[in-house]
Amino acid sequence: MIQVLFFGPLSDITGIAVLELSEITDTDMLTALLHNKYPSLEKSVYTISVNHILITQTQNLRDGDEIALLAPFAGG
Amino acid sequence: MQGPIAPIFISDSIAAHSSKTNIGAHAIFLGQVRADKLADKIVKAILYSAYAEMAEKEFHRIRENAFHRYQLCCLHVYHSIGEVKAGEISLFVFVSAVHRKDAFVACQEIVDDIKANVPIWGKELFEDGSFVWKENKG
Repeated sequence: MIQVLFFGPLSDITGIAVLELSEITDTDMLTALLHNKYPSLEKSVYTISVNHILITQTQNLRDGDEIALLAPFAGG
Repeated sequence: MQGPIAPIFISDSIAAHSSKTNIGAHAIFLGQVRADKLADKIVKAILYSAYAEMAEKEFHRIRENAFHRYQLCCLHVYHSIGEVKAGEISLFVFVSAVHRKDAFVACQEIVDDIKANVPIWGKELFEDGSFVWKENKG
């Protein structure tokens, strides 16, 4: 099982903050599934982190991984 | 920290450093919530949220970078979580160095790094109960 967290406006778009999924092998598969489930997500700008580290390319996923979809940061 | 950063907290922080007599300069940045006007509505507060574990890691990285690059004595960074009203302080960066050049430069770099890389978001709340998500510019 992996945990997928949604932050900022993305949690408004999906209506949830956390989603648990199984049998997701990599981040491409994850985004395809999420875009299908939440069509507005496909038009949104976001980055992905896996276990608190931003990724810049497709990454394999393992059980226990924590993935976050991060809207553009707005701190400060 | 939860809610706005109180001015007394800032002055107390300054006082707490007076015993560190190798410090020659403090550079302090305070981010204040602006009552921005967006499409005829005025921001009355920002509701901040964060990806806490990742934000902590980023703050740690920013801190390590700053100490590595500059001759700093001390560095404290506080960011509000929860509601901060217009006019209240939501970010306090407090850099202490032996000399002023390091303090000035490090402080600006740290603030810019925070705004670009720390996973924090804000809902800009309007008087009528509506909101928009904050977007950082520049």
